[in-house]
Amino acid sequence: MITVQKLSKTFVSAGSKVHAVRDVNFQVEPGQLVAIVGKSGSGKSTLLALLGALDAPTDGSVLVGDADVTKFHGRKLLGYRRDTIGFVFQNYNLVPNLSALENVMLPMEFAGKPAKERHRRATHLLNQVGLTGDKLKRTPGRLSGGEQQRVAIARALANQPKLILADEPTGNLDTATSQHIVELLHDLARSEQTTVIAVTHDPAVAKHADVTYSLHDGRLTRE
Amino acid sequence: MNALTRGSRNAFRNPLRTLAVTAILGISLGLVVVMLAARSAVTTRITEVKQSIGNTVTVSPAGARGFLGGGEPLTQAKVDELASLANVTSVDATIDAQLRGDTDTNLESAVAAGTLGGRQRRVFIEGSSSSGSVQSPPANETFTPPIFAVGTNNPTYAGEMVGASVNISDGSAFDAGTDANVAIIGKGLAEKNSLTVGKTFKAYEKDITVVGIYDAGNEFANNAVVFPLKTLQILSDQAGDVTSAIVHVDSSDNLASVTNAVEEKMGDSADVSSSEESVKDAITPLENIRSIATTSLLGALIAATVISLLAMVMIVRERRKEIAVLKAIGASEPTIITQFVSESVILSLLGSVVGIILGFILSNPILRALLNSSTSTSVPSVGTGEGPGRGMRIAVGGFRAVRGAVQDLAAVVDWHLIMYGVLAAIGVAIVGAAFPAWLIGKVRPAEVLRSE
Repeated sequence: MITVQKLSKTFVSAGSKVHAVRDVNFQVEPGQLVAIVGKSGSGKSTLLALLGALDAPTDGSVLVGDADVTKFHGRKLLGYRRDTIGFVFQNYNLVPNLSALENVMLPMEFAGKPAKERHRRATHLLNQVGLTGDKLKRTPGRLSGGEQQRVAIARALANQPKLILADEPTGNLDTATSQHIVELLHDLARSEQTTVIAVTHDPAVAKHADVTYSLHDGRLTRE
Repeated sequence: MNALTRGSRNAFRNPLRTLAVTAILGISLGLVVVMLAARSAVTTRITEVKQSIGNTVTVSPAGARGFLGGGEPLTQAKVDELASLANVTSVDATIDAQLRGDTDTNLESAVAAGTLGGRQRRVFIEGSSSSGSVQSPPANETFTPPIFAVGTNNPTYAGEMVGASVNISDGSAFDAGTDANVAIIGKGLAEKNSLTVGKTFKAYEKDITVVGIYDAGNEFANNAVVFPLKTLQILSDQAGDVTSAIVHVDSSDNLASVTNAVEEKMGDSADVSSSEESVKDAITPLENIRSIATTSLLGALIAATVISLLAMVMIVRERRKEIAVLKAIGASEPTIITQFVSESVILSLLGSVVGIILGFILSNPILRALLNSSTSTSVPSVGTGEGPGRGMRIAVGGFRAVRGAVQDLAAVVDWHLIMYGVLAAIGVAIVGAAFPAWLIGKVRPAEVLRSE
């Protein structure tokens, strides 16, 4: 269970305050796919950064289970990012000189898992997202956009996280590939009992979501 | 794969940049290797020069130089007192004599008189002639130059007595303190007079047994006789007299203080000179080169560090987003820093390979250029000798050392230098990566989302 309470983030820019996220409250059940839709500048990425503990809120809390992640520092914060969260980015953000397999093994290396286990699980995850054979050894530059996003999803799942945060996961993909990726995220959320929160413009994502929220000027409303 | 291997692979991520950084770092590290080689060669040579010239103070009777000048001989008792001075390791006393063929010895000189020997003729045959001109002896007159004889209490130091390095090719040296009628003689003299070890010759009406034959490599030195000090003092009727003394000092650092102490002890009775000036003259150009090499070494190290730093800053800035992603997916800062330091070390090691190759190629040409530059700006003076005899020999020896100090000086890039070069490269990489590491710490993982 993920509970967000009175979450706010205010930036000070050129002497004036910008309220990127204002008093956001919501709850997500395990295994749900949640879509947060909103225009550019509505605060979607800021909200995602707060949920992923990449940034600190001005106020409020994010409870994952019983733990308030906004209070995490140092090793605890590192462990939360590494073990509890999986990120999927719009531009995939794979390491360009590592193969698909090595990219997926990376979070497991940071978690200190043995090499054999890393290799076995990375291969399994890549097969699960539909990549097989020599594609596992290809660097991102030799994969299509859809294939790269599949690698990114496999990487996000590497450490069996409770929560996957996806930032415009279909933003750079064509309609057919977007459809596959959304279905993949939906299926994984179900099969792995992983909560997926995706911020998106894409109606296809919202269509597959269990719950859809709309973000406007930092305020969240359920649709 | 871990951070180290990832960093190593990243070093080759952009081949053109790797090539450029390696080349520039290679030039700087090459200069480091060249300057290390130059410094090492010069330092070794300075030590050799100090050893070859020796840490000695020469004491001669005031007003006398060999067989020229005037004054009174030194006394054995006074010379013996010098051994008790601080930092003095030993004192060699010598007595000089000339063996005239017609009165003192049956030996025949191995050196023909010639025009230069005619000057001796003026002294020995004509007496104190008023004529200052040099002339050959008349055709009907037979004249052979006298044979140089020296008595010493240190036969192992005989080379300095005759102005050349002595190699006893047959027989052995005599005991230092003996007063036996024995001698070692030069090769030329032995051949001229058909003398071998065990044979005798006449000197001062005594039979002198040849115990050793030496080869000093030049005609003058090979035409001399080296006696035990006491023997020559007795035979030449100079008992208790000493014509020069060589005071050995424990270190060149103490030469000046010992020279002062000797001057104080001997007072006006002696002229005192040390090898300090010769050492100074010989090593001044070398010390100049060492100073230039040290400064250039530091400059090259700083340049290499700055190059490494700038390259890594560029790389870190370029991969800012990748660093943010690594942080977002759970990489710790030390892990990311290790990855970048490893990349920096690999680039520097590649640079060091280029540098070592450049070091092999350029060490000697650059050292030669430094030598030419240094020796053309510091012309050494010729030591301490003012006339014939002991002082002159020391001076000539000093001049040889000055000239030899900068000749045949070669820089060698050996394994030690290669090791230092590699260590310098690793040090440069680590120091050069320090600021980029700080930059890595400043990258916030949220940036990866904001820049989407």
